[in-house]
Amino acid sequence: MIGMLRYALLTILAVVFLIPIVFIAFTSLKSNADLLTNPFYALPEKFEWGNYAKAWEQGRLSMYMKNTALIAFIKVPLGILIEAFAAYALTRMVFKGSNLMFAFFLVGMMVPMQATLVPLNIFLNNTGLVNTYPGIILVYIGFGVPFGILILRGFFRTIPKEIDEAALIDGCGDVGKFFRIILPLSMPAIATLFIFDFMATWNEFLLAQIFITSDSMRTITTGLLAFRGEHSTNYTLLNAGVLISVVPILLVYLAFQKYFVSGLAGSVKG
Amino acid sequence: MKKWMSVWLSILIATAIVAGCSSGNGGSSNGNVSSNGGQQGAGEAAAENVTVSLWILNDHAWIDGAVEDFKQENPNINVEVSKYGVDPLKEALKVAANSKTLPNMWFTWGGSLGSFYAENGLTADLTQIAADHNWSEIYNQAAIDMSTYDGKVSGIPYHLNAVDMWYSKQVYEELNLSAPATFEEFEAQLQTIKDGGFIPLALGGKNGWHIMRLTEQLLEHFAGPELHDQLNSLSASWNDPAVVQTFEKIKEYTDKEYFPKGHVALDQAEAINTFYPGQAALTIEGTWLDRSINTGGFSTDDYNVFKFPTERVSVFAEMFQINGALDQAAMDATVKLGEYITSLEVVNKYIDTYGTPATLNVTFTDNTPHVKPLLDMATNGGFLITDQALPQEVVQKLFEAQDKVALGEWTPQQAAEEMDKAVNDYKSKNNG
Repeated sequence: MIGMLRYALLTILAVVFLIPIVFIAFTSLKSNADLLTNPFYALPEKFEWGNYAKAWEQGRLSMYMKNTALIAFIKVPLGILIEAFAAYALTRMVFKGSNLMFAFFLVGMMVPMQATLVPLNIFLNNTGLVNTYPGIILVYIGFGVPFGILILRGFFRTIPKEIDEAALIDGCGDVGKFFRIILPLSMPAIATLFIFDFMATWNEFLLAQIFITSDSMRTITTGLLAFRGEHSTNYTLLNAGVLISVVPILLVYLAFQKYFVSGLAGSVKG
Repeated sequence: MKKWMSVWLSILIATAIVAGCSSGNGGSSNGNVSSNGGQQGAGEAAAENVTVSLWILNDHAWIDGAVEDFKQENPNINVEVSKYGVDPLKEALKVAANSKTLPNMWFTWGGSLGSFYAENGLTADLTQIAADHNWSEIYNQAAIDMSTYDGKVSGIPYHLNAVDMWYSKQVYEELNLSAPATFEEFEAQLQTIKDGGFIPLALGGKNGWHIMRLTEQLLEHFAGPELHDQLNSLSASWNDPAVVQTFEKIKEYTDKEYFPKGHVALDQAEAINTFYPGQAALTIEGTWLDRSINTGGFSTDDYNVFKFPTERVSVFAEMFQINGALDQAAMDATVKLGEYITSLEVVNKYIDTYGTPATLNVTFTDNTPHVKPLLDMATNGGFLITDQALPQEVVQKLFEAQDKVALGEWTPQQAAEEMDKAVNDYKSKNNG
């Protein structure tokens, strides 16, 4: 009985979460006239599958997705590597003030992104990094570090110290322990972080719109805005574009989801 | 695992190198205020290589063709165009202004939105260039005036938009109505439309400025042109019977359900969707609506415009402002580009997508049949649209007042008092 109730509740929840996506899908398959003359929840009068091709072509989604993928596939692994180094030092290399340093890293999570726009713009302009991929990747890594350290530090602390000691006896140094012991054992946490970080990077809008000014380098979120004009919005193509743009996130989630829950658990145990 | 790690790191390093190499024109388009080469006199930009950065809205698609043409005619001038959405452009410009990294030239709205850059000394004074290049014979004088701050021409006029009443011919024919000649007739029609089962006014209040288009017309009616101008220039008290009457009408129209259901939180993009298919009879929109109607797959023949029963039309200008920190060569090249993309030749070539040009003697096509009637109305008299006429702090208070009056949180009298207070706060802050 309880099992049935649970399934019923989960089904209702799933439907509630799916409803907006269904409406997005409906809108993406309508003509403009159909969208404006019929309620948004109505099925399309005629399925305009061509909207997806149009959104892909007119919205130059291939270029924007390629740019975003380039940024995400460098930023995410590089960021995780840096965060793992920091988390390793904080949990395994005993030094004075390590807790204070951890708190210092966490302060980064409290700084509102908007407050940093002007100083970051000055910094990137003075260093010639504005409108470059290294520039935006650097900024993204900076904003991602606190959360990454929080997750990885929590997980690293659940790995028994005895394993380190055994590795030490076998002649393994700090670098060896990091790459041969800690990282392989932390795959669930790394996979979880990969999903979170990839999603955050793929969906990031504010920094990308300010620091990438060249259209050929824009990311998917800023590129999709091309469907929204000063006085009107092309909702059908915008919704088709939105659905296309979430495919990579879905793929990454599906690839790493089996690690997801166990990875997240570590961060709260710590 | 070791092998997997090696592969991972190798890919990372390789892609990092690729990204580093593919950053192309990095650093050149944001805050590019210089040119390559030595000293150059005014109008002599042709002799050296200059890069001009331009920020513009992303739906002004005609710019690509015009810039390509310009580059062919001026091979020594490279143009880098960055396109933004409406709010992203405002945000990017504010950040760039604060960090002194504005591009060579940028699109902006007139009034208090464009004045920020002029009043903070960030724009070039184009007064002399305007005189030397006979702008008064090229651009509509009203647009030049709206691009002028403190007596200095601070932008190249781009658009001159007129905003007034649009109606659905289908609804009007069905209800046997014709364009109203008086305010009383207009109000009687609102009730007839409501009784006929249609939404009278397709206006959404989410962003404030769409209901504001009705507010300002009501204010023009109750206050008259002279007092309306004084209110907008903050030289008359907003705690005035005309302001109270205006807010009373907003409340009355809300109570009588003349707006779409839940209009306070409704986006205009959704509200206007009731107008296109004839569920709503009226809306207040600008010269751009013809293009939106065409894009939506409807026929412009099914709609028409009329003058709200007051003397003047709400107008606003859009312009290209130029960075005041440019060296002479960059300034010459930037002005040359700005004048080219607003020239009669370019405007006529791209007229169907250009918007409502500030350029004179333009030939309009049948695709935008209502642009000329609206501009003709404006020629007989216009007032600057309220969100550009008032300081932005006061504009925000007006939006709040509209919402709170509609929701019954403020009485019309309270709304007028709050507006007056906001104006006085602004004045004391800026005089102190």
